[in-house]
Amino acid sequence: MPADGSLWKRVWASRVLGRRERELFAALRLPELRQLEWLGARTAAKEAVVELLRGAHGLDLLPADIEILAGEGGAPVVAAPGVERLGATPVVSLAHAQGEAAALAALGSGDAIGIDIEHLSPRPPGFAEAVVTADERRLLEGIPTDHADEWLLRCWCAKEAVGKALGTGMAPGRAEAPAMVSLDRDRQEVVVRVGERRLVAHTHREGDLVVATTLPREGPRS
Amino acid sequence: MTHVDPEVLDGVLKLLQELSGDWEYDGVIGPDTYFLADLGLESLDIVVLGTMIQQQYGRLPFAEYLEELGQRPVEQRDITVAELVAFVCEHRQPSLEEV
Repeated sequence: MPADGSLWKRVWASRVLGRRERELFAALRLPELRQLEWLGARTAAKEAVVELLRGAHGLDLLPADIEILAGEGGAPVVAAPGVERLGATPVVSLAHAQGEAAALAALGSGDAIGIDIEHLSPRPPGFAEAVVTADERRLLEGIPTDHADEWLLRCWCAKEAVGKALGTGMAPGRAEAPAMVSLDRDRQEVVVRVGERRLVAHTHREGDLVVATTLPREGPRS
Repeated sequence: MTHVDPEVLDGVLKLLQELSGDWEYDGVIGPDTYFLADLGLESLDIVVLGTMIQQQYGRLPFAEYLEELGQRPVEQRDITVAELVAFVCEHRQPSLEEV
């Protein structure tokens, strides 16, 4: 961003945000980069919802017509004119990490979806113990050293994505904390349990970025 | 107001300096620095920070603290370094020399 980045940030915000979102944006107390990630993830989500509604229902909306607001527990809720009568509610999930932003959107019957991204980067000692449990570390044993950090992050991202989809978040220390129960390296899938539910998260790596997404309706494959 | 032990404050500041290489923050970190508004910490950073602090000061009710912060109104969820240090001082088990 050039030195006049704050001008472009305001122009960007006024182009893509609805009225209530502009109020949220003005009240954000975050560093510049986090504000840009906030805008970036929303822009991606809105553009995806616009495309989905145009393709499925012929609606002609602009990103600023669609508002992404915080629902109960902080999960994003989509508000858009004319969608109530369609019987298909757009759902979105937002993610950001160190200057990257991503979003996932779907037209569904209200089932949530989840996405998370993280960068592969050198981590401090004790990192593995911090982000996965002893049971999860056992599942990661046997992965070649040159892929171990990547799969550790895939596991973390999978849990975050499932936590977002089910609205539990990471729930540290609680029974509903998402937990990895198996992984399939060939399919790049991680199965995550939350209470009685088991969801599959698809993971992949793009450069140094690890991405996990989950669409709960799919359920785990046998 | 919980007593803030200057030794704990120094220890936490030192830890934050070590971890800040992973964060996009190049300012000075002090007692009044906010974790979200200034340091821009993400969930992964918070988990790592919590683990590092517990490695240094013993087991703390960190998960419960995060849950309590998460239930506050959005504008009150951010805390300063001094507030975290007060939490550590309040909950850490006394070391053997202090018993």
